[in-house]
Amino acid sequence: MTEPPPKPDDPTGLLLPTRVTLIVAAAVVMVGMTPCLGLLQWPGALLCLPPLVLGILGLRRVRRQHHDESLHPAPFLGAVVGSCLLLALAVTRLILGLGVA
Amino acid sequence: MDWASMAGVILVILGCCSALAGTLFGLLPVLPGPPVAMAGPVLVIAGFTVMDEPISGWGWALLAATLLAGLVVTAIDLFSPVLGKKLGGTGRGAMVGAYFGLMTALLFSVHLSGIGAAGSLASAGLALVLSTLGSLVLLFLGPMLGGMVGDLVAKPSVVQRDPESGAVKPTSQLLWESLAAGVAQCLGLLITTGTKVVYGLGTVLACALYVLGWLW
Repeated sequence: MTEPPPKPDDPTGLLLPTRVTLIVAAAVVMVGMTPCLGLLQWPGALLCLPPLVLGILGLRRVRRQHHDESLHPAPFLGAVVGSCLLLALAVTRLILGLGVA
Repeated sequence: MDWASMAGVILVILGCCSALAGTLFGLLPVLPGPPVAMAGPVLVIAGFTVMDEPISGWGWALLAATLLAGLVVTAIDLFSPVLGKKLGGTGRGAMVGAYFGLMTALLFSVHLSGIGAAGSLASAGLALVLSTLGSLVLLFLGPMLGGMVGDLVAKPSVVQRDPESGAVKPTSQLLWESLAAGVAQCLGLLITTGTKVVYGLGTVLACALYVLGWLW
Protein backbone atom coordinates (compact mmCIF):
# COMPACT_ATOMS: atom_id res chain seq x y z
CA MET A 1 0.00 0.00 0.00
CA THR A 2 1.54 3.29 -1.06
CA GLU A 3 1.27 6.36 1.13
CA PRO A 4 -0.35 9.45 -0.35
CA PRO A 5 2.16 12.11 -1.43
CA PRO A 6 2.71 14.88 1.15
CA LYS A 7 0.77 18.06 0.56
CA PRO A 8 2.84 21.04 -0.57
CA ASP A 9 3.35 23.92 1.86
CA ASP A 10 1.64 26.33 -0.46
CA PRO A 11 -1.00 24.63 -2.62
CA THR A 12 -2.21 27.99 -3.98
CA GLY A 13 1.20 28.92 -5.38
CA LEU A 14 0.46 32.56 -4.51
CA LEU A 15 1.93 32.84 -1.03
CA LEU A 16 5.52 33.70 -1.95
CA PRO A 17 4.67 36.38 -4.56
CA THR A 18 2.13 37.87 -2.16
CA ARG A 19 4.69 38.12 0.64
CA VAL A 20 7.44 39.50 -1.61
CA THR A 21 5.25 42.17 -3.23
CA LEU A 22 3.88 43.21 0.18
CA ILE A 23 7.39 43.60 1.64
CA VAL A 24 8.53 45.62 -1.39
CA ALA A 25 5.47 47.88 -1.16
CA ALA A 26 5.97 48.36 2.60
CA ALA A 27 9.63 49.26 2.10
CA VAL A 28 8.91 51.80 -0.66
CA VAL A 29 6.03 53.41 1.28
CA MET A 30 8.18 53.60 4.42
CA VAL A 31 11.08 55.26 2.59
CA GLY A 32 8.62 57.55 0.81
CA MET A 33 7.46 58.86 4.20
CA THR A 34 10.84 60.56 4.64
CA PRO A 35 10.66 64.33 4.14
CA CYS A 36 11.74 65.41 0.62
CA LEU A 37 11.16 61.87 -0.74
CA GLY A 38 7.43 62.30 -1.32
CA LEU A 39 7.77 61.52 -5.03
CA LEU A 40 8.49 57.91 -4.06
CA GLN A 41 4.88 57.56 -2.93
CA TRP A 42 3.67 57.51 -6.55
CA PRO A 43 5.42 54.18 -7.24
CA GLY A 44 4.70 53.25 -3.61
CA ALA A 45 0.96 53.60 -4.14
CA LEU A 46 1.17 51.62 -7.39
CA LEU A 47 3.25 48.90 -5.72
CA CYS A 48 0.46 48.40 -3.15
CA LEU A 49 -1.79 47.07 -5.91
CA PRO A 50 0.01 43.75 -6.70
CA PRO A 51 -0.21 42.37 -3.12
CA LEU A 52 -3.83 43.51 -2.97
CA VAL A 53 -4.67 41.70 -6.19
CA LEU A 54 -2.65 38.62 -5.21
CA GLY A 55 -4.29 38.58 -1.78
CA ILE A 56 -7.78 38.72 -3.28
CA LEU A 57 -6.85 35.97 -5.76
CA GLY A 58 -5.45 33.89 -2.90
CA LEU A 59 -8.62 34.36 -0.85
CA ARG A 60 -10.73 33.28 -3.82
CA ARG A 61 -8.54 30.23 -4.40
CA VAL A 62 -8.67 29.27 -0.73
CA ARG A 63 -12.45 29.62 -0.75
CA ARG A 64 -12.74 27.49 -3.89
CA GLN A 65 -10.56 24.70 -2.48
CA HIS A 66 -11.95 24.89 1.04
CA HIS A 67 -13.81 21.59 0.75
CA ASP A 68 -10.60 19.61 1.35
CA GLU A 69 -9.80 21.68 4.46
CA SER A 70 -6.16 22.01 3.45
CA LEU A 71 -5.95 25.77 3.01
CA HIS A 72 -6.24 28.72 5.33
CA PRO A 73 -6.98 32.32 4.36
CA ALA A 74 -4.89 34.03 7.11
CA PRO A 75 -1.82 35.09 5.05
CA PHE A 76 -3.95 36.35 2.15
CA LEU A 77 -6.23 38.19 4.56
CA GLY A 78 -3.13 39.80 6.06
CA ALA A 79 -1.90 40.80 2.60
CA VAL A 80 -5.22 42.42 1.71
CA VAL A 81 -5.42 44.32 5.02
CA GLY A 82 -1.75 45.30 4.87
CA SER A 83 -1.82 46.53 1.27
CA CYS A 84 -5.02 48.53 1.94
CA LEU A 85 -3.34 50.19 4.95
CA LEU A 86 -0.20 50.95 2.94
CA LEU A 87 -2.27 52.34 0.05
CA ALA A 88 -4.20 54.61 2.44
CA LEU A 89 -0.94 55.84 3.97
CA ALA A 90 0.66 56.48 0.59
CA VAL A 91 -2.38 58.39 -0.71
CA THR A 92 -2.58 60.46 2.51
CA ARG A 93 1.12 61.30 2.21
CA LEU A 94 0.61 62.31 -1.42
CA ILE A 95 -2.30 64.57 -0.43
CA LEU A 96 -0.34 66.11 2.47
CA GLY A 97 2.82 66.69 0.48
CA LEU A 98 1.02 67.41 -2.80
CA GLY A 99 3.08 64.62 -4.30
CA VAL A 100 6.35 66.48 -4.26
CA ALA A 101 7.50 67.37 -0.72
CA MET B 1 47.98 74.43 21.81
CA ASP B 2 50.01 71.42 22.91
CA TRP B 3 49.37 67.84 21.81
CA ALA B 4 47.68 66.80 25.06
CA SER B 5 45.14 69.61 24.85
CA MET B 6 44.46 68.86 21.20
CA ALA B 7 43.97 65.15 21.91
CA GLY B 8 41.70 66.04 24.85
CA VAL B 9 39.53 68.35 22.74
CA ILE B 10 39.28 65.70 20.02
CA LEU B 11 38.20 63.12 22.62
CA VAL B 12 35.55 65.50 24.00
CA ILE B 13 34.19 66.15 20.50
CA LEU B 14 34.21 62.42 19.75
CA GLY B 15 32.35 61.78 22.99
CA CYS B 16 29.61 64.29 22.15
CA CYS B 17 29.29 62.82 18.63
CA SER B 18 29.14 59.32 20.10
CA ALA B 19 26.30 60.28 22.46
CA LEU B 20 24.36 61.85 19.56
CA ALA B 21 24.99 58.84 17.31
CA GLY B 22 23.91 56.48 20.10
CA THR B 23 20.62 58.38 20.42
CA LEU B 24 19.97 58.04 16.68
CA PHE B 25 21.04 54.38 16.69
CA GLY B 26 18.46 53.75 19.39
CA LEU B 27 15.74 54.16 16.76
CA LEU B 28 17.03 51.19 14.79
CA PRO B 29 16.87 47.71 16.30
CA VAL B 30 19.98 46.40 14.52
CA LEU B 31 22.45 49.11 15.54
CA PRO B 32 23.95 49.07 19.06
CA GLY B 33 22.52 52.34 20.39
CA PRO B 34 23.11 52.09 24.18
CA PRO B 35 26.80 50.98 24.02
CA VAL B 36 27.63 53.76 21.54
CA ALA B 37 25.78 56.32 23.69
CA MET B 38 27.51 54.95 26.80
CA ALA B 39 30.91 55.61 25.19
CA GLY B 40 30.05 59.34 24.94
CA PRO B 41 30.52 60.41 28.59
CA VAL B 42 33.48 58.00 28.94
CA LEU B 43 35.27 59.69 26.03
CA VAL B 44 34.47 63.16 27.40
CA ILE B 45 35.91 62.24 30.83
CA ALA B 46 38.92 60.65 29.09
CA GLY B 47 39.42 63.91 27.21
CA PHE B 48 39.36 65.91 30.46
CA THR B 49 41.83 63.47 32.01
CA VAL B 50 44.21 63.85 29.05
CA MET B 51 43.95 67.64 29.39
CA ASP B 52 44.64 67.42 33.16
CA GLU B 53 41.33 69.10 33.93
CA PRO B 54 39.98 68.49 37.47
CA ILE B 55 36.85 66.35 37.64
CA SER B 56 34.57 66.85 40.63
CA GLY B 57 32.94 64.09 42.66
CA TRP B 58 29.62 64.89 41.00
CA GLY B 59 31.27 64.34 37.63
CA TRP B 60 32.45 60.86 38.61
CA ALA B 61 29.05 60.07 40.15
CA LEU B 62 27.30 61.14 36.92
CA LEU B 63 29.66 58.92 34.90
CA ALA B 64 29.00 55.94 37.18
CA ALA B 65 25.23 56.48 36.99
CA THR B 66 25.40 56.78 33.18
CA LEU B 67 27.41 53.55 32.88
CA LEU B 68 25.10 51.67 35.24
CA ALA B 69 22.00 52.86 33.40
CA GLY B 70 23.67 51.94 30.10
CA LEU B 71 24.27 48.38 31.26
CA VAL B 72 20.62 48.06 32.36
CA VAL B 73 19.32 49.45 29.05
CA THR B 74 21.65 47.16 27.07
CA ALA B 75 20.38 44.17 29.06
CA ILE B 76 16.74 45.20 28.37
CA ASP B 77 17.58 45.57 24.67
CA LEU B 78 19.27 42.15 24.54
CA PHE B 79 16.59 40.24 26.43
CA SER B 80 13.49 41.97 25.01
CA PRO B 81 13.02 39.44 22.14
CA VAL B 82 13.04 36.57 24.67
CA LEU B 83 10.60 38.45 26.91
CA GLY B 84 8.37 39.28 23.92
CA LYS B 85 8.24 35.62 22.93
CA LYS B 86 7.29 34.62 26.46
CA LEU B 87 4.60 37.30 26.69
CA GLY B 88 2.96 36.99 23.30
CA GLY B 89 4.56 34.03 21.61
CA THR B 90 5.25 36.15 18.55
CA GLY B 91 7.33 35.16 15.56
CA ARG B 92 9.70 36.90 13.19
CA GLY B 93 6.88 38.10 10.91
CA ALA B 94 5.24 40.07 13.71
CA MET B 95 8.62 41.53 14.71
CA VAL B 96 9.44 42.73 11.17
CA GLY B 97 5.90 44.05 10.67
CA ALA B 98 5.96 45.97 13.95
CA TYR B 99 9.30 47.53 13.05
CA PHE B 100 7.99 48.63 9.63
CA GLY B 101 4.89 50.02 11.34
CA LEU B 102 6.88 51.96 13.92
CA MET B 103 9.25 53.50 11.37
CA THR B 104 6.38 54.44 9.03
CA ALA B 105 4.41 55.96 11.92
CA LEU B 106 7.46 57.93 13.12
CA LEU B 107 8.13 59.34 9.65
CA PHE B 108 4.44 60.03 9.02
CA SER B 109 4.09 61.89 12.33
CA VAL B 110 6.71 64.37 11.06
CA HIS B 111 4.23 65.49 8.38
CA LEU B 112 1.40 65.68 10.90
CA SER B 113 3.56 67.92 13.10
CA GLY B 114 4.23 70.14 10.09
CA ILE B 115 0.50 70.59 9.55
CA GLY B 116 0.02 71.34 13.24
CA ALA B 117 2.75 73.95 13.24
CA ALA B 118 1.31 75.61 10.12
CA GLY B 119 -2.23 75.62 11.43
CA SER B 120 -1.41 76.83 14.92
CA LEU B 121 -1.22 80.47 13.86
CA ALA B 122 -4.71 80.46 12.39
CA SER B 123 -6.62 78.32 14.86
CA ALA B 124 -5.05 79.12 18.25
CA GLY B 125 -3.14 75.87 18.69
CA LEU B 126 -6.06 73.51 18.07
CA ALA B 127 -4.44 72.03 14.98
CA LEU B 128 -1.19 71.65 16.91
CA VAL B 129 -2.93 69.76 19.72
CA LEU B 130 -4.81 67.54 17.26
CA SER B 131 -1.69 66.74 15.24
CA THR B 132 0.24 65.90 18.42
CA LEU B 133 -2.55 63.58 19.56
CA GLY B 134 -2.66 62.06 16.06
CA SER B 135 1.08 61.43 16.20
CA LEU B 136 0.80 59.71 19.58
CA VAL B 137 -2.07 57.53 18.35
CA LEU B 138 -0.04 56.70 15.23
CA LEU B 139 2.94 55.66 17.36
CA PHE B 140 0.73 53.04 19.05
CA LEU B 141 -1.32 52.02 16.03
CA GLY B 142 1.61 51.73 13.60
CA PRO B 143 3.57 48.93 15.32
CA MET B 144 0.37 47.20 16.45
CA LEU B 145 -1.18 47.00 12.99
CA GLY B 146 2.22 46.26 11.43
CA GLY B 147 2.80 43.42 13.89
CA MET B 148 -0.69 42.02 13.30
CA VAL B 149 -0.34 42.08 9.51
CA GLY B 150 3.19 40.68 9.73
CA ASP B 151 2.03 37.82 11.93
CA LEU B 152 -0.89 37.04 9.61
CA VAL B 153 1.23 37.09 6.45
CA ALA B 154 3.91 34.91 8.04
CA LYS B 155 1.41 32.15 8.85
CA PRO B 156 1.41 29.11 6.55
CA SER B 157 -1.43 28.83 4.05
CA VAL B 158 -2.02 25.17 4.87
CA VAL B 159 -4.56 24.52 7.57
CA GLN B 160 -3.41 24.95 11.18
CA ARG B 161 -4.46 22.54 13.89
CA ASP B 162 -4.53 23.11 17.62
CA PRO B 163 -1.57 21.11 19.05
CA GLU B 164 -3.64 19.97 22.07
CA SER B 165 -7.04 19.06 20.67
CA GLY B 166 -6.04 18.54 17.04
CA ALA B 167 -9.00 20.61 15.90
CA VAL B 168 -8.73 23.05 13.01
CA LYS B 169 -8.19 26.62 14.19
CA PRO B 170 -10.96 28.93 12.97
CA THR B 171 -10.04 32.17 11.20
CA SER B 172 -11.35 34.24 14.12
CA GLN B 173 -8.91 32.51 16.49
CA LEU B 174 -6.02 33.20 14.09
CA LEU B 175 -7.07 36.85 13.91
CA TRP B 176 -7.15 37.13 17.70
CA GLU B 177 -3.74 35.46 17.92
CA SER B 178 -2.33 37.93 15.40
CA LEU B 179 -3.90 40.87 17.21
CA ALA B 180 -2.33 39.67 20.48
CA ALA B 181 1.01 39.30 18.68
CA GLY B 182 0.65 42.85 17.31
CA VAL B 183 -0.12 44.30 20.74
CA ALA B 184 2.79 42.41 22.35
CA GLN B 185 5.18 43.59 19.63
CA CYS B 186 3.88 47.16 19.88
CA LEU B 187 4.43 47.29 23.64
CA GLY B 188 7.84 45.60 23.42
CA LEU B 189 9.05 47.85 20.60
CA LEU B 190 7.81 51.05 22.22
CA ILE B 191 9.32 50.13 25.58
CA THR B 192 12.72 49.12 24.19
CA THR B 193 12.97 51.90 21.58
CA GLY B 194 11.68 54.49 24.07
CA THR B 195 14.14 53.34 26.73
CA LYS B 196 17.05 53.45 24.29
CA VAL B 197 16.17 56.92 22.97
CA VAL B 198 15.60 58.34 26.48
CA TYR B 199 18.94 56.86 27.60
CA GLY B 200 20.66 58.33 24.52
CA LEU B 201 19.21 61.75 25.31
CA GLY B 202 20.43 61.32 28.90
CA THR B 203 23.99 60.72 27.71
CA VAL B 204 23.76 63.79 25.45
CA LEU B 205 22.63 65.81 28.48
CA ALA B 206 25.49 64.40 30.57
CA CYS B 207 28.02 65.35 27.87
CA ALA B 208 26.49 68.83 27.63
CA LEU B 209 26.76 69.25 31.42
CA TYR B 210 30.42 68.18 31.37
CA VAL B 211 31.28 70.57 28.53
CA LEU B 212 29.33 73.48 30.04
CA GLY B 213 31.00 72.92 33.42
CA TRP B 214 34.40 72.84 31.70
CA LEU B 215 33.77 76.02 29.67
CA TRP B 216 32.43 77.99 32.65
